[in-house]
Amino acid sequence: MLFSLAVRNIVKSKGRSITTLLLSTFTTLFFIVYVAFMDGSHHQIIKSSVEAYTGYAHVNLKGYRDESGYDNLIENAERIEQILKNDRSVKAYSPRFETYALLSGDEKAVGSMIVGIIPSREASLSKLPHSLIKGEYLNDNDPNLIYIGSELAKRLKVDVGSQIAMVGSSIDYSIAADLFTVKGIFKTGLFDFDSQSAFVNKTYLDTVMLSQNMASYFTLCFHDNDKIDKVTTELQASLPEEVEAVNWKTLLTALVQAMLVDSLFGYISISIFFVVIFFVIMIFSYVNIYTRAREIGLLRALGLTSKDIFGMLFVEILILATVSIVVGTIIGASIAYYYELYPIVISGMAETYKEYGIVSDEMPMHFDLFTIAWNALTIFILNLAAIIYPVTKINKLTAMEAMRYV
Amino acid sequence: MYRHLAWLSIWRRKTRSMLVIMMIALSLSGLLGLQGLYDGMVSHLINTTIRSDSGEISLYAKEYRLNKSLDYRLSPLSTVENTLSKHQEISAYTMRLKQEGIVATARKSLGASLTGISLEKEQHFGQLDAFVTEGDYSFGKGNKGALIGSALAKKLNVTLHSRVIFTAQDATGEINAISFRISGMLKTGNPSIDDNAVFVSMEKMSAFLNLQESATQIAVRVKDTQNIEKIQNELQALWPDTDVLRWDELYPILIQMQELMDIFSLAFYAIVFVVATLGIFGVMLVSVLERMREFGIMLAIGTPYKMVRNQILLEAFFLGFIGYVGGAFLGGVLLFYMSTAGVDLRAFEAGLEMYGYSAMMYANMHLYYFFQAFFAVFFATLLSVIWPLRKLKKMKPIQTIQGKML
Repeated sequence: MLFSLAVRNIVKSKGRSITTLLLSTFTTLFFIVYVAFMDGSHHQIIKSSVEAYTGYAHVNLKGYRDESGYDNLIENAERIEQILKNDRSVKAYSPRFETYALLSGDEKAVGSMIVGIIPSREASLSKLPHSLIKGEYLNDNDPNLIYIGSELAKRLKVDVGSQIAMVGSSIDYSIAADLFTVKGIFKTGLFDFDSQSAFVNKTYLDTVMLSQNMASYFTLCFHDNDKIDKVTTELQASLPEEVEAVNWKTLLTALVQAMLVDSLFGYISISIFFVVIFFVIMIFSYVNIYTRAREIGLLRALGLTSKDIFGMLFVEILILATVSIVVGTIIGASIAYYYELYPIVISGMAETYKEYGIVSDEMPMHFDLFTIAWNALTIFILNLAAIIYPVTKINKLTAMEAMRYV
Repeated sequence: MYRHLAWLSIWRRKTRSMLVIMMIALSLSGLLGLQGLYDGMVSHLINTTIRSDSGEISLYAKEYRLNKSLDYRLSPLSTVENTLSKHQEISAYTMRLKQEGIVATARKSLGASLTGISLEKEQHFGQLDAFVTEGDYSFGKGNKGALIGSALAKKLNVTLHSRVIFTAQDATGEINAISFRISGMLKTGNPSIDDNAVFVSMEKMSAFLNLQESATQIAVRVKDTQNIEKIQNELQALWPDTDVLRWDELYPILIQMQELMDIFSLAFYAIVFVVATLGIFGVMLVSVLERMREFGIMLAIGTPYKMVRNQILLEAFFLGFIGYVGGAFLGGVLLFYMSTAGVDLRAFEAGLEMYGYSAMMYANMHLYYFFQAFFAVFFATLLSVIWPLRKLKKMKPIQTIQGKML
């Protein structure tokens, strides 16, 4: 009976029903899209940083991350290589040797990172080969050929075929110097990276730096990168004690934190919106319930308990909230899903915000059922909470008081 | 009289009015707090950039910004110095001689920039001394020391009194090296300094680069920010062959960020107040409808419609105004707290610093926030009574009194 009464009331008080329905639907939709958009852009930024060069995880000597000089090199790279090869969760891996050196073109000298890589194996680990914009990518037999970032090329004023002199120090701290020819130029869109990095075939660089069978670290990706924490811990178990496996959450701590702060501010902003919505729903419920005060008094006089009244009013908001949240969630989720597949494009954004690690004009949304579920649940609870006060207030009146209420 | 009537009417239904007032007050205080905080974040960013780098106006040799070579330098300096020091509206200026290269310890090397400065001038210019986190604001005994960016120091793993070597090309194109001890560390919040810069005395830098009386940048502080463009034009006219650029031309992204924040604030204001208007509307509509009979009698005994209208307008205005006063007070307290005690986000320090934000955030507090809020509330209340007033206007007093039409 309560249910049919509630339905009748909903149909009868159109104004309140429509307002509550529209508001909750819109709020649900807005919240889902807002969060999907926020998460989407964060994922995009982190993903491009991870995939451009860093990689999903590193294996390095303990202490390397605090002091990444020559004192903390992996000295028996073959041994680590064997372990990674036998680990079934690891999909691809490759050693890198990172150092800094002074590079000079015909007129200008610039300090830059120089990395020895195994070119063929980088293809499945980073975007390096795909970021080529001019010339050619390296191959595994290359001698003194170098693959440099577009901004670095600009700073050095060099082009494909130009020569670059390098002065650095080899691992015994003696001076290492060599002459390289530019084989290719790349652009990842990560401004800092493009202006400070150069790559050389590791086999060759090892002869210059005396770093045979050594590596700064191994970069790797797993079959299941979504469960990164779990697989990293498992990998750690099979590594020697002095070596550690760290994933991108640690490698890119600053970036992860920056995204977290951004989310925090996002949620604070939207919570103000929730305060207003909460009050508006409460006001409309309050007004609606009080215009029915006499009716409620009559029901009480006829023998309904205050519990029954509470139940009836609660069922009303339950029906309204459920309908609007289902509708809002379906529309919101569809929007999120659509824009995950076909991201919004804001042309020129990557160029403007290049120093902030934004590498693409695409702004995808992030479609995640769990996130959508808790977003919807939040609005649902908000709706139910908004009715508690009006209902308790009317239930404080006795049947006679309610009937006489003007 | 209608003023008195309006005031009494809003307290006839206390709870309902209080709900509206609370809605306005709470959302408004949140909006004010957020606006101040976002504003504070961006202006902090702008402020540190101006203090530690660009000043309000910077002078560069033409071409230098495209091609950071010592070939494009400002020289001789004495005439410029003479003019700047005598200019009435310039409060300070500083000269910097900068070159990019590689900074190295015995174990590690990184790309960095070395800048020759005068400590005294920088102190006067932007209180550079206030950014010193460790050590002294000095170049040590005989001006042989150097100040280093804190993030760079961390990456290099150097502490106070560590010895570092800087290698770069001098003005003749030769590669030179210079060594010094760290006498202090700087944390400005400007990533290009914290991550990248080493400062030495101007004399030492000039000797290292084989230059005399040269600078790559001259930065100027202006007494009154209203006059920036005027002074820019004056200086440009004096030295037509030099790039004379304002901070917002050098860092357009800062202005864009500010604009983006403003747009965001405004959009948020709009959304929140559209919803709030709906809340006020609900209450006003019901309050008018339930008193239709009363208004009918008033009109029937000869009260002009204008007076009844004014009464309702005033009721809405009172509600809005009380809400506004409450919100402005709460928001003011919140802003005052956030602008003096600050918001401690040190848990996310690394993430914030990556984008140049400081981990202790201070909100801005401007009078115009409160004006803006007042107009938003004012329009919201005005908008919310349009529909109820139309209802009232269409009413036929006699039928209403007879209870025939409601």
